[in-house]
Amino acid sequence: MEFHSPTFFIFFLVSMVLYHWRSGIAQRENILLMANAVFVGSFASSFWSVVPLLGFVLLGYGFIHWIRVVPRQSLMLSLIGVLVVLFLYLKNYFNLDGLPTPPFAFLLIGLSYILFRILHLIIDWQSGALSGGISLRSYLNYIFFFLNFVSGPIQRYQDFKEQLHGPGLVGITRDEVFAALSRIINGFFKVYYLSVLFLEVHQNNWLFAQVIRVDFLTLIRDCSLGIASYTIYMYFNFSGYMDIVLGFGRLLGFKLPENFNDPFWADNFLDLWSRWHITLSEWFKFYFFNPLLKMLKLWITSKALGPYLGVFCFFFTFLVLGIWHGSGMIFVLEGLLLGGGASVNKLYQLQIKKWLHKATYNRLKQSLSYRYLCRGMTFSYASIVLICLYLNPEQLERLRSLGVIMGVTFLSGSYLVMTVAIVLVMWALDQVMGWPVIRYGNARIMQSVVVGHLWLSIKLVALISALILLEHAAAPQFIYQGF
Amino acid sequence: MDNQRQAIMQRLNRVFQEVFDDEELQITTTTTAKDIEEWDSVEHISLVIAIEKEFTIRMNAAEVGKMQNVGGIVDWLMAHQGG
Repeated sequence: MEFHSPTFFIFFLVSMVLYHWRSGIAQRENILLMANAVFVGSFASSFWSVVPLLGFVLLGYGFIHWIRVVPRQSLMLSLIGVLVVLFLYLKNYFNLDGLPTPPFAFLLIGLSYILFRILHLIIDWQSGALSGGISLRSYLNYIFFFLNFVSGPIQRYQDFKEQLHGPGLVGITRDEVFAALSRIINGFFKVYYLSVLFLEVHQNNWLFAQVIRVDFLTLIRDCSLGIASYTIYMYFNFSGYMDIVLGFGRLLGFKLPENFNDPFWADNFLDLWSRWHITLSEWFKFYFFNPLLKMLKLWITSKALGPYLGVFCFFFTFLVLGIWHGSGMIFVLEGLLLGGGASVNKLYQLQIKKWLHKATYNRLKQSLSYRYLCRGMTFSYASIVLICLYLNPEQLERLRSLGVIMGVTFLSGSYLVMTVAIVLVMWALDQVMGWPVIRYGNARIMQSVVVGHLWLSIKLVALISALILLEHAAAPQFIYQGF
Repeated sequence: MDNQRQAIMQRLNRVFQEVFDDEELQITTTTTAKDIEEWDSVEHISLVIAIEKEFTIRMNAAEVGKMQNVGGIVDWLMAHQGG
């Protein structure tokens, strides 16, 4: 069941009415469980196709009860190990011919996010961050919550439970309903218009779709446009999907966590990951980076080495994050590039503070031109790393061949061109937004209810037009559904 | 209660001064990572280790991650030290 389908709208409407109609917690949980079962079941081709997924989830439930009874760290690590290995096996990370596999196609959608939720429960229960029990119904509702089942956001159980047992309909006002609907429309506008626009630019310029030898400057131009437009497409696709999910969530009485915060305004690569797919970054920070760094710092107590332990942990954390995206060497490459970017960023921050006086460094960080340059470099590097997500083996071979023929200068050239382009765009935007008429007009527009409604109506009309036009064409897919 | 809170703040201030190597540093309940330049993700863990050692207490993963400001740390210490 896709979020943009009429079936989903009817399903959501019925679920929302039933959910808010019943005020008892147990009744609401039952309704949510049925809604979750219907939604997840819509992806299944047969009963057997959900058996491995259900088995994985029920195994997780058993492990949670085990760790509650025996909250030993050694047991926790063993249980995590078993779940991770099972996850890798189901997702075919090992890619070994001899391994037995179920003799039928099985559902894997949402498995990555399910793993994160189960691990969070196990770790928090072992450490005492969670107490009391969890019924099978509550557990299944948390794991299979239809709004964030496919692609997040990753919500902590504590927050989910508080909202599930929260005010429900009482907390929903007319203004909030309007805000939720605005957000949903905004999300569809981003997915159906903006992301499609940039995907088209990418597909028209992505050189590796063609086997044509071109001159160096054309190669740089096409490469830069192709790479940059994919990043922007991905942002609008993913953040648009998140707007839709969060909007629907609010109508149901759930305040799901935000996943994006102006990522293109990130001042460096590490800052980017506090603004892009925020809940995934936070999960890795809470449950991977922090414990790993703490363990190393307790073991290696040298204060001088402390910051460099951080560099290592950043590298390792982002390496794992990259590999999480999928099986195959291309995702190992992605992990290495992510880890490399994060660790070099941290090393730079450590070294520049030694080279420059503190006051000089602070002045440099406040300088607009330095910030534009950092943002440009961050965007360009992130865009190059993202290549790993859409290169197929044939294109990877072409890239390698091009690398052999042209050297790595074409990627370096693209990096430079993208960086300069971003610097110029950011500078131009700041100049325009600083004009008095724009500042005044912007302030009036932001306060004007009429303009807000008018703009929303325009987006709604544009959206309906797109839906009509796309009726016989393929609707844009939500890209993170594949991870 | 106020005396206990004050005592905790004083001990915490010493911890902050030691971790960030700044004897002049004075924290308040509203102090966050944005107020102390060196308080980044890496030094956050150094701070956690130092607090655990000073107060002979252990933070779990969620508490480490959610430690956002000094006021929150003081409240947590008071709650976990029987305050």
